This record gives sequence, C-alpha cells and structure tokens, in this order.
Amino acid sequence: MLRLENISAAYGYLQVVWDVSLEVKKGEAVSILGLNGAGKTTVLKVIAGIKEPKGGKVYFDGEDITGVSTDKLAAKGLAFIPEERNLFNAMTVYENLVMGGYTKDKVTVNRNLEYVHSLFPRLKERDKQLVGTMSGGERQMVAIARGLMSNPQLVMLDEPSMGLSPQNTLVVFDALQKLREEGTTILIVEQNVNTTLQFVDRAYIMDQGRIVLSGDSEALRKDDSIQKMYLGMG
Amino acid sequence: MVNILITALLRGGMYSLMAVGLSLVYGVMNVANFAHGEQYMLGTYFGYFCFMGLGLNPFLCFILALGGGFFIGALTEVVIFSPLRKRSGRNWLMNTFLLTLGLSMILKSGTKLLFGNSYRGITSYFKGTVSLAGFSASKDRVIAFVIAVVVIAVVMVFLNKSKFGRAIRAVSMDATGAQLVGIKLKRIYIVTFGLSCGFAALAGAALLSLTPAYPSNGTQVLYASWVVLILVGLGNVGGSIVGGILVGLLETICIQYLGAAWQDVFALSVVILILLVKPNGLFGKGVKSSVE
Ligand SMILES: Nc1ncnc2c1ncn2[C@@H]1O[C@H](COP(=O)(O)OP(=O)(O)O)[C@@H](O)[C@H]1O
Ligand SMILES: [Mg+2]
Repeated sequence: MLRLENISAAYGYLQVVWDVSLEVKKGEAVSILGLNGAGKTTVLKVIAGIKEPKGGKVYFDGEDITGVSTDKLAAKGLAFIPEERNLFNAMTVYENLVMGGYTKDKVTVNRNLEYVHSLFPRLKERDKQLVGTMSGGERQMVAIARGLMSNPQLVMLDEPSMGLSPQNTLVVFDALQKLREEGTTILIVEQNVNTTLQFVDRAYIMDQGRIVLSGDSEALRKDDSIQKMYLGMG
Repeated sequence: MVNILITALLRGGMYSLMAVGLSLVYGVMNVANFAHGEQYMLGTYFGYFCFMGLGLNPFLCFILALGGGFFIGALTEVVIFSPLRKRSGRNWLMNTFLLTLGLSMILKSGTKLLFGNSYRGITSYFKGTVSLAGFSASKDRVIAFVIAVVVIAVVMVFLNKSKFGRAIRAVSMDATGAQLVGIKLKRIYIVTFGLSCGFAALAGAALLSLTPAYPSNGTQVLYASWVVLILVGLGNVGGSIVGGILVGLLETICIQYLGAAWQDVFALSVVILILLVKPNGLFGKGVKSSVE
C-alpha cells in the first residue's frame, strides 16, 4: 500500500533523513519509533507532500506520489494527522469535520459524520464549540475525525498521544483499534513506545535520521537492547 | 448630530468595502497589499470610460468595474505573487509589502503615461438627491452606500455558507490543514485577490462623482483602508465593517469641527491612542488571521 525507497531529506544544508526505506502493507498497522529529533516527522511530511525529499521515491498503491502536492492526497485515500493538528480554530467542531470531507459529496459527508460521531461521541456533544477553545485531547479527536472524513485507506498519525491524559490516550487508541478492525491501514509515529508496540504489527526504529532496526512488535518488545538503548526503560 | 451620523455612514460604507478586501487578502494570503489604492484608482477609470466613453448604464459600469478589478487581481496573483511564493521564505510578508509598493508606483505612473495627469470626473451618475428626516444626500452617495452594504452582505454569506467560502476561511486559519483536506491553495488565492481588487475597483467606480479619476487618487483611500485594518485588528473581516464606519465617523467629525485639512491627522491620532490601549486593535484577540 505504501512504500518508501531510499528517502533522504534536508532542511537547507542540514540533512536529517538518510536512505529511509520502509513498507506498509494493506491492512497492517505499522509504527515508526525513535527519540526526539530522529527524523520521524520529517519522513511523514515527505510522504504527505509537505516536505520535498532530497532523494528517493514514495509509492502509494503502486503509484509514484513523490512530490505530489498535499491537496491531492485526500482524494487518493491518504490522510495525514500531523503533530500540530492544523485545525481550523475559528470554526466549530462540525465545520471542521465537514471541511474534512471537502473532496466528498454531501451524502458521503453525512454518512462519514455519523461514523466519526460513533467513534468519538464527545464530538457530537461539542458540535457547536469552536475548536480553538478545546482541550488537547478533544483537539486530537477532532484532528483524527477530520482526517477520517475523506474515507482514507491509509491513515498516518504523528504522535497522537502527545500531551494527552492517560484517559484520552486510551480513547484515541481505542478508536484506532476500531479502525484497524475495519481494515484501515495505519502508520503511526510515537514516542509512547510500550503502548504503541502493543498496538501495531510491526515497527521501524529510527535514530539520527536512519532506520536502525525493524521487526515484529512482539520481537521488539522482548528485545532488551532496544528497550535500553532507544526507549530508556531498562 | 443626525446629519453627522448619516454623513459618516455614507462615507464609511465604502471604506468598509475597501477594508474588507484588504483584510481578506491579509488574512487569507498573508499579503500586506499597498497597491489597494491603485486598484481603487483603476476602478475610477473603469467607471469613467464605461459611463462617459461608452455611455453605459451606471449599474453596468459598476459590474464591469467589479469584473475588471477581479480580472486584474487574479492576474496579479498568477503573475506576481505565485512566483514569489515559490522563492520567498521567511521574509514573505515584507516581500509582499515591497512588491505591492512597487506595483502601486507602476500602476500610478503607467496611468499617468497613458491618460495624463488630468482629472476625469462626472457630476453625477444619478441626478437628484434623496431626503430623509430633514437630511438630504446626493443619490450617488446613497446608491454607493447601498452597493457597499449589499456587496458586504453577499461576501459574508459567501464566506460563511458556501463551500468555497468556507474553504477560503479555512485557508486563513491553517493553510497546511486546508491542503490536507484537499483544498487547492492556488484557486483560493486567485479568487481572494480577485475579489479584493474587484471590491476596490467597484468602490472607485461607484464614488466617481465624489472623487474624479486621476492617477494618484488612490493614496488617501489606501491610508484610510489601512487605518481601518490597524484599528480593528489585522485580518478581521467582520471587524472591518464596523471599522470602516468608525473611520467615516472620525473623518466627518473632524471635517465638521476642525476642518478637512486635519482629517488624516485626527484619524491617525485616534488610531495611535487606541493602539496604546489595545495593541491588537479594537477587536484583536492576538490570534493571527481569523476571518470571522
Ligand atoms: N523546519 C525545520 N527546519 C530546520 N530543521 C528542522 C526543521 N524541522 C525539523 N528539523 C530538524 O530535523 C531533525 C528531525 O526532526 P523531526 O523530523 O521533527 O524529528 P522527530 O519527529 O523524530 O522528533 C531534527 O534535528 C530537527 O531539529
Ligand atoms: Mg516529531
């Protein structure tokens, strides 16, 4: 479904991603883990067309989407839920969700609204609240729900649990679990290692701009050296 | 007193229309447009040549000015801003200031070259006056005011209720977020700048009997529009409407009691006072670019 070949990326003269190749198959949940500054966000931004890569290719559904502009991805079935959320703060929850279905017709938008409301009942209660006035957890729910409004086949999330209370983290991961059961493919970047490894099938570990390890979550969870080296929980 | 209020309202309506356009462009595109006055100026020429040259119906003249302004604005986005956006990084806002300042000079000089320095005015589009409660104003003024009110109302409905209008507001709040949901920024920018220039040109055409067409007639209007924006807070479209009327009121009071020569001094002094107390403008919340 998604394949990266030898992606490298730089900010000005400073290269921060080297030779990253990875693959996410249809129906899988895969994670990119790593310390702060490892280059995870940059990789996601390259996939989403927000950051132009220095080299390498991105394939989505077999199609080369390297450098394709961000506004085309929603229609192709790719949703990116960034760390910064990028919500429309002076709009209501409802308006944000409707904007999420920008590329869809009215009937689909209404159907999807019902779906995301069933996923996050709280958003239905807060229909008319301005998103700018919401808490971090609620904003994350809006961000995920807005991303789902375009019927994506692949959902990419950048640190969805960042700044969230344990309860809200649970709500978010429960929703992701439901998505997964319905067959949506998920690529998730996290620092919350243990929760994430319990959730995903496979993971790639990034350090200083490179992928240094990859494997089944089961194996990674048992790997002592990883727990010590990268995740600081010996 | 009632006279002053009505005069202020009539004067302010068009300032509101100008300021709404300027504000929209600032909020959505992050462009500080200093050629807004020249877009007004072009409107006065549109109005003059359509009315005097072609002898068209005044309303048709206004529509043509609006359309012509829209076209010039859209062209400006495609030819000038779009290439700049690709190359300009951190200094974008400053670059737009310099670029539009240059554009303003080119338009001013170009018009001078083409049409000379002479005044081309009309005495009125519509003869006669309208009187109301013992107050009378020229029909032209009243009609210009009504046009401003109608256009602003249509714009507000468009921005809040239509799909494309909502997309414009979305871009003003978060351009990356807008792209993520599938909004094409290019189209939004073209329409936004087109509308803004169209409104300025419409204002110019509608006020032709008050300000004749000549190359530098946009300068004072540009200042007034920026005064409105700074007064209410940058990028606040809703506030710009109130702000336009307020500036109209300030000027009217000044002309009445101090003399016309003082109107800029007076308006700017009031702005300085307000900014001392409320640095983000009257309705500013310190949040960048919210089109409300
Ligand atoms: N806009 C930027 N300009 C310059 N350097 C950046 C920018 N964004 C990220 N970086 C640098 O790139 C590296 C990788 O960052 P990022 O991809 O955000 O890592 P992660 O998401 O894994 O924390 C870091 O060293 C960071 O400082
Ligand atoms: Mg990151």
